[in-house]
Amino acid sequence: MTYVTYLHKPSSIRNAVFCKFVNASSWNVIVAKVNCLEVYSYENNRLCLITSANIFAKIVNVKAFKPVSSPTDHIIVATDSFRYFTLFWDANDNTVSNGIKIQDCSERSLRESQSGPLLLVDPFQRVICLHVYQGLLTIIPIFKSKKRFMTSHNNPSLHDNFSVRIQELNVVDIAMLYNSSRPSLAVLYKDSKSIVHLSTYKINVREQEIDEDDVVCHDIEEGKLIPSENGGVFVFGEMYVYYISKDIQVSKLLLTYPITAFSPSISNDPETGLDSSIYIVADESGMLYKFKALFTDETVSMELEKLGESSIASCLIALPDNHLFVGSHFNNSVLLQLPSITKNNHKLEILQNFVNIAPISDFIIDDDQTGSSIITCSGAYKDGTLRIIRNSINIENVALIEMEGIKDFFSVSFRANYDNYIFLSLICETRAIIVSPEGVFSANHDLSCEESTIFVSTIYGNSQILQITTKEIRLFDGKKLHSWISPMSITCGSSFADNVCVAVAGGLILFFEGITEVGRYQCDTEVSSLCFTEENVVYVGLWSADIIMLTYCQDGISLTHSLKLTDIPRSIVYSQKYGDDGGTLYVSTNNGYVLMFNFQNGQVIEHSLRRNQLGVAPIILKHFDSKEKNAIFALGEKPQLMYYESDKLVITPLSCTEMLNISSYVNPSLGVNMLYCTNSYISLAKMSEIRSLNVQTVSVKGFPRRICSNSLFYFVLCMQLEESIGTQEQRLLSFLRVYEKNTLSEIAHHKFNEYEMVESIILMNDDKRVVVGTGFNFPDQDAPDSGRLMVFEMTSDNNIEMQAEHKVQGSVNTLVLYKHLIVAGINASVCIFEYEHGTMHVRNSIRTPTYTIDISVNQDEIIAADLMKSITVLQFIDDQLIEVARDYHPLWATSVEILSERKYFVTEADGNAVILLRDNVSPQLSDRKKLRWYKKFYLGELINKTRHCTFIEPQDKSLVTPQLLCATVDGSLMIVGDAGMSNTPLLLQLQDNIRKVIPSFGGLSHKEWKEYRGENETSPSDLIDGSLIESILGLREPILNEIVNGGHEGTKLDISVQDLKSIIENLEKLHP
Amino acid sequence: MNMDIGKALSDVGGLRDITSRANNSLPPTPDSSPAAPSKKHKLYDFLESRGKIETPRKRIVFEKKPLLHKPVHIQKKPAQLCKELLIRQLGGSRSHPFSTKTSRHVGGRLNLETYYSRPSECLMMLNQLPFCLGFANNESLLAVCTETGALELFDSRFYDRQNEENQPSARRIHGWLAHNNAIFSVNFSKDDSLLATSSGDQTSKVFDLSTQQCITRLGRRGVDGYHSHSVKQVNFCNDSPYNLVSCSRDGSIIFWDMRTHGITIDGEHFQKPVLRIRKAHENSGRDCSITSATWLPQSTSQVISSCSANSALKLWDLRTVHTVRPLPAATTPELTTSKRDFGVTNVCTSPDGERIYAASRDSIIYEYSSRHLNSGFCKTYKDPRLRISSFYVKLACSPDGATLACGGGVQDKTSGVVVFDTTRNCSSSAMLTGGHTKDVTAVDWSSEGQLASISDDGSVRVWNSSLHGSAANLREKNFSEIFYWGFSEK
Repeated sequence: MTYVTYLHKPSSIRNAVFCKFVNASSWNVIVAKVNCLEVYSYENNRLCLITSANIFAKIVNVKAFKPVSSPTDHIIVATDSFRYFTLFWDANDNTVSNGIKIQDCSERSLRESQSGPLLLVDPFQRVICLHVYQGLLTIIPIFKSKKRFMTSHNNPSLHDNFSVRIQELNVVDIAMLYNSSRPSLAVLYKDSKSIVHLSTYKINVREQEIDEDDVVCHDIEEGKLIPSENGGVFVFGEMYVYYISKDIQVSKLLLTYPITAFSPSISNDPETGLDSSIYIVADESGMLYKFKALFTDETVSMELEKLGESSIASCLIALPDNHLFVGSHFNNSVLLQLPSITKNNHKLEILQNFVNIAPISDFIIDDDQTGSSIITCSGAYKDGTLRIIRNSINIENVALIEMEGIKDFFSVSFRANYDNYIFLSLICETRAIIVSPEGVFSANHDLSCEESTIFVSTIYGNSQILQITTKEIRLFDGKKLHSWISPMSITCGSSFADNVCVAVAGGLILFFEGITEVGRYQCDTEVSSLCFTEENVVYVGLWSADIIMLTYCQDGISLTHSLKLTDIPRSIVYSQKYGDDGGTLYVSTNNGYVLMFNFQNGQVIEHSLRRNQLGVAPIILKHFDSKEKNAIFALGEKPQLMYYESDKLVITPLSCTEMLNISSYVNPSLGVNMLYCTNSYISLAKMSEIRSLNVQTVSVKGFPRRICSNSLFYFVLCMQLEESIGTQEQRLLSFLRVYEKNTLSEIAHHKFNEYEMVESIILMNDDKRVVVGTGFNFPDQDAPDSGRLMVFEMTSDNNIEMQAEHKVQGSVNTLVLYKHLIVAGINASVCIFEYEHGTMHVRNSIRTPTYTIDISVNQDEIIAADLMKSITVLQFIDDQLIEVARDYHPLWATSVEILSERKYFVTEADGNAVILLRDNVSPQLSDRKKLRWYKKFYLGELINKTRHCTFIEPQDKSLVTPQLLCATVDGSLMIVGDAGMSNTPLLLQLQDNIRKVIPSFGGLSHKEWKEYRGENETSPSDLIDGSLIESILGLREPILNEIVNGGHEGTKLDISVQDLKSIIENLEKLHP
Repeated sequence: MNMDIGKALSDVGGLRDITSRANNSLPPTPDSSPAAPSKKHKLYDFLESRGKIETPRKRIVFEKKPLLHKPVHIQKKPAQLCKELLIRQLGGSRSHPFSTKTSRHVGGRLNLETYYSRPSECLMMLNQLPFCLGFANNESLLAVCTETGALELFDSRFYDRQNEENQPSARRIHGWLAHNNAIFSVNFSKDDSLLATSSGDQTSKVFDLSTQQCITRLGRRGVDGYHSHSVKQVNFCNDSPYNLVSCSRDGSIIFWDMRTHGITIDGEHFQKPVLRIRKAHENSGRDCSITSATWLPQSTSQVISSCSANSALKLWDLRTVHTVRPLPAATTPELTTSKRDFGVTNVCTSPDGERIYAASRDSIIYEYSSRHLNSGFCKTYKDPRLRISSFYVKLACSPDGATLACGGGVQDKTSGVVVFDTTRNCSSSAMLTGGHTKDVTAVDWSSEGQLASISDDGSVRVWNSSLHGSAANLREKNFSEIFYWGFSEK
């Protein structure tokens, strides 16, 4: 049975409301993400997540309203199947509760409105208006009577809806006007000649009628309506802004781009609420404006003031204190501080970032020693980014100190149970800082000096601080400072217990007890690094690419061991295994490798050497003291953490990428366990012990469409939209951009021709060349009729060079590698090319139904997904492409991937997914040629790309084997797996019990939500929804008990609650 | 903003753009008229809206003083497939981030004035009249049969490498003599592996398309128990390539199943009927010709039939029909609209099987709901140009169910196909003119939305739909430039 769960939940925000949801005294922001509602509270200039609610339907719109008797606002949620329900905050239970359960207003016989569903609330809280179908308005009166509300607990907040007819079919936008006498509407619509008009209506709730009002306006522009408090309505057209009311009709040229979202600003006084004389408006270019309208007796003056640039907004919410929440589909959603005149700042300041990786056009999985990372092509229009998603250790900054030029730092715990001394080593200065138990920092002038510090620790049983600088060894007992001044400059130093060891220029190693010299050893070359471990053993790295092991005892110093390396060691750390004689010596070399030698009783275990390349520049190794892990920081181009987890070396990246140096620092009162510095600041931070999904953003000029990678580079196909207002023309520019993997910087690019759209890219077998497919999209053509296949290679001087070019008759929508051949989907055909001696040859081609969208291959099959007509199975036999089987159902495929032998996974544009089966042993030919629908279900989001890969390697005892990874338009990454024959019955029954026991929001059925939705039919889904099963883990014990025992007519499961928990924990291991 | 392809997307794939273009052909208003459009800047005003006024609501009153400004209307470019796909991939455009039915809008074209046919898409049959045609269900393969029994196969989307315009043309692929008598209908099986023809020789034949060999015959001439007159139509069942239905002028409908045993005589294989319904449409005691018998899609048991004597349609359900005294599962009531009975020339179904369209001799197309035949027609399609004068006129519903095409259009001595929009409540229609000189009889749709028509002048034409370019420009050109072209006209 198919098991589907999220690796990354959808993050695109299309709707948000601002209301007093939780209590009447504070504001909440409620955000809708595909099928999830998130309730945020607005406190201390931040939005804090209070709770999230999974809705078993796609949320189309959310609005807040206030029933007269209720102290708080309720919200109404409109879903994609033309239904609505209400939710409110139950103050007793502190949860979101159902108000009105699901109400169906679907009318199969009517045509859907072309502008999409609209949900509107009367500003005077009398009715809610829903426009879904052409020419039909559904009016939902809000409950008025206080009495009935108080008496029954199951209080209705809304009356039953009724429908009224309007004459306008092609509605552009609707607004509810500020009309105190009767609820009224303004409708912006297009007539049959595409001319835009505005008409108004009044709703008669009692008679369930609608009457035409007398405010009309003809021949204006298409745009958005914003109701004004003065009773009129603003029309934000494509360039002009109009104000239309009974008395005044004016227009003014204000805009350069159509607006996408608006929000009335909020006055600081929570009692008064909205201030609708000022609006915040966002346009398509991501620009934010403040819109002011000044009313006089006869006219209105309108003013638009530019505030700054942000993500392209799909919803805006103005918050008190000049804050603004921008919800976006195309980029991160942000909480902004708007510029204010009083505070004299003119910049938009981002206060909070809500990561959004939607829309994902394409993705790849990149594996290296540090584990897998997913690179997604995210964003669109001006907001294109590459996102690198890693399962990494998260570092949370607790405090930042701005300071530049720091080379290294040390912390030491001197007569305290926390690290109370911090030494900051600059290029020619050391600053010592004492941290008080309360976390107050003060400078210590005794320990600060004019040299940089190399090493700090405590000796003599934590009674003295040992500080090794480039000139001297200093001992500090809290009051007095003793020092030994070196004749030559000290290059490295280390200590263990009371013994100190330093290396000075010239390759001389000196041993001390305290500051009394006890021995010396002359090396052949300069010392590059040194590490003093227990039993008086010193590991010394030399510039001659050797590591020697010196043992110090009463008799003198002897060389006990030496290792010859190929590269020069730069940093050495010895890490002991707990409760064992052995340990591991980590050596970083000057070319970015980290070598690991395992030691046992002072001897290297043979063949224990491991080499890991973590970068190209020398890596700084540092010990990290943690309760559970004996971990080593490795700081190169990317900061990483190495540790052993059940005898397996794990190298994990850290979420912060700009680190220069790092050190463990223990201070429980501050809740930090590490200290790191970047170019500009030092941070006291908390490093989490467990790995989680972290997203790194690389901004891209234009927006990325396709990506592939070899061992060194990312090849990204990007597009740029250049718009000129004057001619109202749009230019599409396409680029191939090459990013270096380590630095993530663009090193080369190739620009394609005008009108050429980049469609596909693959890496060839030799790991060097890439093939790019394009299509010419001339403005006077409906479908592309020409395109190019191009072969590129990186030259040695980091330039991208075109090696071959082949013209084809259509757009190359998709490319895959099949053995050594290139399979291309070109318009309505599949072609096989061979690249030989710098030219492309056509080997064969075959027609496909309408338009090839995606191709997937395995050993002997080529599966082509079609724009409208499902998939076709092809085979390439004896230089001939032949059609083996086909699915005759209409299916608007978006991606295809082979699931297993003769099973194909196809995703569809409406969010369905189908698994098709090829029956190649059926006795009847017609059955062999026909693909069978094996399983079908609803995923809820349009999937752009499916790949056969796993992000986290499944463990042996895993209940579900992950198979595919799907990236969606709404920014989610889904794992499609197989639950296996033996686990399926249990998981299915568990899912069934959860459906029965856990009440759903709005009374929606999870079963219906996952049903396949065809044009005319819905059918039960063959799917186990992982996110549903995982959602119960946090629930209370009695509920889990009920699930196990099959409450509400469920089936009793043969497991205990403890088993249930371990099952879910097992399932959760599929994703971080 | 013009760059907004997504807007067009949300307008059913750019429907609006075309309507705005098409409406430029409105009758011109005199310059003195208040509603005259200014060339550069339009000046607009509002009617006085204070108090109750008797003037009609949507009239524009002209006044010198401009109050509202509006930028010059620039024609919007049509949405293109590639861009639509791009927008779909990005989850909508910026202004319309929400369109619930994103998928259906891609490539969804619903404008009747977009059809055109180039000279290269016209083929002439020499010395014989084409009688019927049929498109393959998955390919751009067109079969045309003639009065002499010849069967010709065409590729309606043939890409010629030498062709500079790089546009598809129609090309003959193959042909053979299927019958020694006129062929009245031709039909492909759902997977296009088989082809069935019905002929005036009282039999039907089933051909294997890959070998063009007749694998079986449905009916034996002069033998009792089979059709005893011309077979008017033969149809494959949608869900099974083995089930067929045929109907004849003798008033009988016969169901065939190719999995049953037949008999082989002189090396020729004959199928035996599974069920024969005699006198299927009895009209006041007399037999009448069954003009059409077609399966309901998504059903292996239900067949709709029509006759030449009256407007009644009958639904036969194999699950309930009695072998001795067969009775239909449902019958349409008598029409009360017309004074006398008109026969039905052809019946077709919408792809989802919900609607049945019947072309009646009174030049009206009646739409029935297949589930409620008894309650009568639910809609009619009329056009003054539509003349269903002969029983050779056929109609066809497009694969997306949105357009209905019918032969028999006549306008000022030219003939053509009449197309109707079935999705709207008010019926809108257009005629594809210029392509044929004599009566257009049969039409059919390909799976890719191409339309083919045949005419008594011997021509076979393939019509393409394009949002812009060809079809729109053609109407504005003069006669000599568009000679031998066909295009749609409102």
